[in-house]
Amino acid sequence: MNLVQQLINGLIIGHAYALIAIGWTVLLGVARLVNFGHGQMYMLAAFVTWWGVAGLGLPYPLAILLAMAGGVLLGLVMQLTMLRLTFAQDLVSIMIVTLGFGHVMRGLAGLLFGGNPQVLETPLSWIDFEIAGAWVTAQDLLIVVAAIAVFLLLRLVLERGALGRTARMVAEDPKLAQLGGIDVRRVYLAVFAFEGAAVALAAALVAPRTPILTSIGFEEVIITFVVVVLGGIGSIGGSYLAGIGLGLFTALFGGFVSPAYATSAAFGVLILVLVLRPGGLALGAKGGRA
Amino acid sequence: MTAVLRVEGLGVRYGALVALDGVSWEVAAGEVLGIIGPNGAGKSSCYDAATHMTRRTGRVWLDGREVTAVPPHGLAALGLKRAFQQNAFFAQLSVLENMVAVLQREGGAGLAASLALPWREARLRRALRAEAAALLEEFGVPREMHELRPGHIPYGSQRMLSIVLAWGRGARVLMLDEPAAGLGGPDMARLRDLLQRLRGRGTGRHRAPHGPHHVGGRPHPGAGAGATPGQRHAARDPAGCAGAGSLSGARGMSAPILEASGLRVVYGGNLALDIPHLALRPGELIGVVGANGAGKSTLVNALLGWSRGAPRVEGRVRLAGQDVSALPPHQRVRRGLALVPEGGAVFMRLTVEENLAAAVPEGGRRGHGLEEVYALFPRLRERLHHLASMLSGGERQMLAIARALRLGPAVLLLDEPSIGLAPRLVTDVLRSVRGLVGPGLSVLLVEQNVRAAIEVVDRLVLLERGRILAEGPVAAMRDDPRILHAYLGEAVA
Amino acid sequence: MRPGMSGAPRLLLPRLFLPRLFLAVAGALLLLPLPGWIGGVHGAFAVIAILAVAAYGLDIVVSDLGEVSLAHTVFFAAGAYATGLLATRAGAGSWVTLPAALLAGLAIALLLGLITLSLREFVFSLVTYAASVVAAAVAHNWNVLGGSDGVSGIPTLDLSIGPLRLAARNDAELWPFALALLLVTLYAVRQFRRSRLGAMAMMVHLNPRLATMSGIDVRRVRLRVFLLSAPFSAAAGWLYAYQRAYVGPDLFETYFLVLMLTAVVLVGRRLLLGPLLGTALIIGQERFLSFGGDINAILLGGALILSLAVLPSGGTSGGTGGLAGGLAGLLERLRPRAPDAAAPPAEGRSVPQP
Repeated sequence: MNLVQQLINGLIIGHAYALIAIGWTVLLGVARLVNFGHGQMYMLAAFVTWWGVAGLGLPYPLAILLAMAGGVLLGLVMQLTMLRLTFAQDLVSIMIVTLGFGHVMRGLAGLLFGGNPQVLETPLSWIDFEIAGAWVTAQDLLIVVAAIAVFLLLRLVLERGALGRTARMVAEDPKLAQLGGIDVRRVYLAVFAFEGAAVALAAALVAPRTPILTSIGFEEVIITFVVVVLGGIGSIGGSYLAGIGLGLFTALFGGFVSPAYATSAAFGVLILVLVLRPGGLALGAKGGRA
Repeated sequence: MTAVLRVEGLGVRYGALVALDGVSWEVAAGEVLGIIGPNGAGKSSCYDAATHMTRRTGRVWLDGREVTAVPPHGLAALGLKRAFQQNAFFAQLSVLENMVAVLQREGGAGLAASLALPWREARLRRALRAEAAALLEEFGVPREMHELRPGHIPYGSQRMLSIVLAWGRGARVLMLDEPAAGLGGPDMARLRDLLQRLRGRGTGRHRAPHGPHHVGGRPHPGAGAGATPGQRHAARDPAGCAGAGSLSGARGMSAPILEASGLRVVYGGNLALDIPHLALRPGELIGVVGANGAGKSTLVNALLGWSRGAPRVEGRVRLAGQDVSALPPHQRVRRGLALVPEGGAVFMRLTVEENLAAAVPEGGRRGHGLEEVYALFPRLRERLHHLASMLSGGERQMLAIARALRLGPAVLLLDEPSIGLAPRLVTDVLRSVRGLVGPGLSVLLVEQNVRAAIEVVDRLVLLERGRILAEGPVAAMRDDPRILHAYLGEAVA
Repeated sequence: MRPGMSGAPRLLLPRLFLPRLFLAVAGALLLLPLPGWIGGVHGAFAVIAILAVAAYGLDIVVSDLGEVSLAHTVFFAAGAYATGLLATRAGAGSWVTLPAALLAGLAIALLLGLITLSLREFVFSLVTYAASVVAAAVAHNWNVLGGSDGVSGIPTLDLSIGPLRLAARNDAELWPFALALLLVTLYAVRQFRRSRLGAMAMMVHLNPRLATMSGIDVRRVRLRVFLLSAPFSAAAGWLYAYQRAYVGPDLFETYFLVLMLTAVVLVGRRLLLGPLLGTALIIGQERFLSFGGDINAILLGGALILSLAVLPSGGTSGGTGGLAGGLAGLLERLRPRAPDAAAPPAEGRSVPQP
């Protein structure tokens, strides 16, 4: 168990986590929405990517785009169904409905892609590099590059100027935003479409690392939650850093203590933070405190 | 005289904003203390501080015992009760169930008893229901309303309900937060009676908005006991009145810029609005007045197809000759119809600057530039980088109007802009609005403050129970006895 | 009970205690021989009753407190595992495993409850969801709990006391026990809703600020209701272990979670028989009208989505929603109500609350 290897691993995993969580950051920060079907969307997108490559014979980049298109479609369908609840800002019902969607997606994946575990083979997985005494594949590097690119793009778009302002207005009071001439419906649809695309991209890039089963995605939601909460609701930069931190933590914990309980340990750390700092780290007035 | 409730050195800060600083007062048994002051003076903060609903410095004593560290729910148990400024109830329960729930908190059957002795629980419940019904009647919520949901009873009754829910089974000190706000004449009288009766049962304390309003019997100097809203008037300006009056004559029969036909709104089974026809001409300033519950807010919301609730709206709305009935609110806004909903609706988490920057006109309209807005409301320039949540109620109202103007509307709907504003400010704001009206901007002004409205409007529309009771040029309408009656009930100025 | 827009169910009968009691007892007595009459469906009925009891635990938290707890599968599993482990490893009898199961559920609820004391809404839900993921990981990996294989060979239920034989060697004999557990649960939930704690829970749900000013310690009420809800699901787990004779990490699959949630919202919130009818519909479809596991999952998820997103609810928080709410709304539309001009019209302003 080479320390450097673990650290490099941790950095790569961290970028993967950050990428998986970015959809949620935007969803929560902009629209005050949650998506408990997040893990299943991840699973479904992984299957679609695999099917694109193995079933349709598409080149990997096209398969990624296919998965992202599917993600966008899924996101739009979900939000269209939930529009009334979104306008009413009924978070409780939205949580439950997205859970329902997750279950439907589970059934759909089983129906369309069968119940057998699949492995996503990509050309990049076979290219190895040696960096500072540790081995990484080109696929891993792709994850890092993609994550950084997405984060930079988002930061540019959201945290400055008109789009960011619109986002905050809709997040605070969608009805009032309507009176300001904003088509709130479109904002919600866009945000959910982004969530679909982002989680699909993450799945397409990260899935080659592990076998794809209908049961994956369960833990992804927890990781996402930890990243988003630790990073501060709606903070793009924060969730990037939190993702990296979490990745390092799980790599080190998994490498030196126990791989099976890495996620649980991360959750434990989160609990500790939430208990010791009940301010919930920038949760503030938004659905955090009693 | 020993004080029942005493506070000393209360201080509240919201970030850099000092809302309250070193405030001390006390209330003796059987006394009614009024806390008044213009908006932004800190009355709300005072209440929040006294009931420990917010972080604060200072100390509080109740019945001689220091309760500074007691959490808010503990204070209620000790007899310190508070009613909120806006009507507070449990919306999904019926009126009676609301009251029963509150009574249960103090005298209901515990869980163990309910499980082990169900017949006892049933008997206790019946007794509570009877007690609740009696209390409700006493506080002015008649039996017919008990099975309805609070959202479906008139505003004045909701206010009574909120007070009796706060009262529970009794209180040592009852804090009322602007209990008369938004009440019309008859409701005001009922409130006055209620407070007199409560006085006999213990200490009451309430706060009046900036003015010698309504509820009489207060020993507070300068309160003008027994004053009615009719006597409270903004400074009259004969020149301004005459100006307003003459303009209406000069207007020709041009096509209406805003027209509503067959406008009907149904809230949960109740017909809240029924307007066969209403028209606003270019360059005109119409005032819509009427007691609370008359449907004024419902009207302007329906014109925009907008609401915080979910009513059924029927009818046609035409803007500049085009039918906009099928358009969603944001599209009507883009076509030139702007609404400032009541309560100074701004985005709390944006700064003043951002709030203003976000209001951008579309569709080739030219909105008011920032400099024009600052000229109208200089206070906004001073508070440019403050979060809207840090502004006082009046300043937020100004910001809301400024935002609407920035959108460059052809028609501006204002819903009770005077709420929360000091009387001096009310006159200023309404005069500014008057000054803006011209060929490019027409305004529909909903106002509870009839006197102030009469000063500036061209026409007056009087609503009652969702229907137009009277309408006409202000010169003809201003002394119409029906207006006074709608507001003041029997006690006419 | 009409779809309740309000807290207590409407009384269609004179408000006397005895006639309603009589009806309830009669209904229960009729249920007992029912699976036999239909013919050999004791297993399905038993499972319906057991899972309904688990759902009632969730129901209290969702319908009364207004929070979404995703940890009730953990309570359910805790009860089942406690039972399975004690029965197989320690040879404990059913009278020992029952309190053990309840305690297991309660202990976890206490831990979770204290952690989430200051958290609300989705953060609370997420923490409970995370708890179920962690519990699943532990169950999969810890050999003490049997790892992925779980615990099998659980003996049959035996509550015999002395000469009184109360054992269940098969589904047909288990059914009366399941029914008894269900009836006890129904009674407890009903009484809870009519008690002071139930009223306080509703107040905290609908208007926490007003509840505080009425003297209610919001955090304490939430904790107490959460703690109260756990033993129901744990008890269901207890009986489930005996019914299936096997417990394993599959108990943590989203299936059970979605099942309980759907049971709670499908028929309508805060209706006493809601979760029972919901569970019956779902399990009934699975057992008697199955289209295969995958399509069943789509149907189940779809039902959940339908109940909340598609059917109109009578006010989303605290309203009835679900099938009953939808039906009530439909009837109201069809009934021609001349808008009563004499009735005080509601001012739009009246809605906002502190």
